[in-house]
Amino acid sequence: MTRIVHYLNQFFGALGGEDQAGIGPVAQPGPVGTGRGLARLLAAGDRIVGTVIAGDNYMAERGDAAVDEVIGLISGFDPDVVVAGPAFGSGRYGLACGAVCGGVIDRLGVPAATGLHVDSPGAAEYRASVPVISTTETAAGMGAALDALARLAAKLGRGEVLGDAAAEGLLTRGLRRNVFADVRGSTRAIEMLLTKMRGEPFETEWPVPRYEPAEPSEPIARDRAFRLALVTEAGIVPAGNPDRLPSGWATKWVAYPIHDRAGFAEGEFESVHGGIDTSFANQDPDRQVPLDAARILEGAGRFTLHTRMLSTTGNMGTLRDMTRMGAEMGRALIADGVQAVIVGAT
Amino acid sequence: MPLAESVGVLRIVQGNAVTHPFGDPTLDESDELEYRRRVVETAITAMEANVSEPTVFEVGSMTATT
Repeated sequence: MTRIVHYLNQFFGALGGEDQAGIGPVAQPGPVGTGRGLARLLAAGDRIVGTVIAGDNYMAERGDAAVDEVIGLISGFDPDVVVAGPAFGSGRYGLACGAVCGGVIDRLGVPAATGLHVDSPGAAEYRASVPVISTTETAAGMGAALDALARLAAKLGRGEVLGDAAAEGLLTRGLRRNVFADVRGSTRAIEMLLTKMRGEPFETEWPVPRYEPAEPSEPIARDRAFRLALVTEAGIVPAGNPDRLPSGWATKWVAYPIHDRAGFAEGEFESVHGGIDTSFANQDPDRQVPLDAARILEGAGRFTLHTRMLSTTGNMGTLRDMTRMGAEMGRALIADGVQAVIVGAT
Repeated sequence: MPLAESVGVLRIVQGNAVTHPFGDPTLDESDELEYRRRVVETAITAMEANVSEPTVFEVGSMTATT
């Protein structure tokens, strides 16, 4: 028998609506609310032994401390599997489901899963670390979501390795697993092309990354001075690379003071980029970070240069890490009062 | 440059080469600095412009093409 513990918010746990959103975690034996529907779909022998319910606002406002409380109550039921939600497209509830599942997996070592809409904040935050059943945006898809969660809970309870995301009804987690195919790649590619040309549905084996469109920023005002930062993905670092910025697959960025420099001199800074011939940049790093030219223009009074240069290595970077680092750099520069950035790209 | 456009960079200045976007090793030192100054000036012109889609600003000519 698989012992399942179910996590719900105040609404799906039948404690009340928005007026009860501040309620702290409570534990109840057996299935409650959404759990009654889930219980009917479970495999023979699988059982919801307890339900933990907490208000959306309580979870959103108290963060990790609230998750700790919920996990404490969950562990009291000695679960084999924890199911949260489904929360569909909802913001607070979806984030709480993701946080509870993540905490259960990490701290209790117990498998956990939830169900969320692909565009929900919870899915964006937790889909890589928590198995998430793909649901509709609203509770209209409750039946299908519970059916998929019941099947997933049975598999997790038996300790089975989860298969292909599409087959399990899961959101992709960004993991690749090697498998043996019956037909070689070239044949599969031609078959896929022919299927596409016949106008029939086909499934790609490797989805192309989606680039989120960026909102154009407001132009800088022509009549006001501004602060300008220089950023590079050419891996420009002080000679000897003191912070060990990698030559590729970078997951971090670094910042170095430039306020006392008129430009970069050969031998003081260098490029650690592993994807290009770095000899031109090593001869004169200004060719990648145009500090000397920017200083001359700064002298005309149009702008002041930011005191630090930000650097990472773009070579072989994953879209996920680069997106994160770009956002981190942007936040750091805005916090330092920077209005404009020139990013040198290799 | 087609890469920058395809990933949705909104204000693009075409540099000299990936190994030296802000430089030209065939020039002597002062001419190269002058070239680099023009690239940076073009970037500032780009940031003063209203754009709604990936837009390339050419060094020197100060004209924009989309």
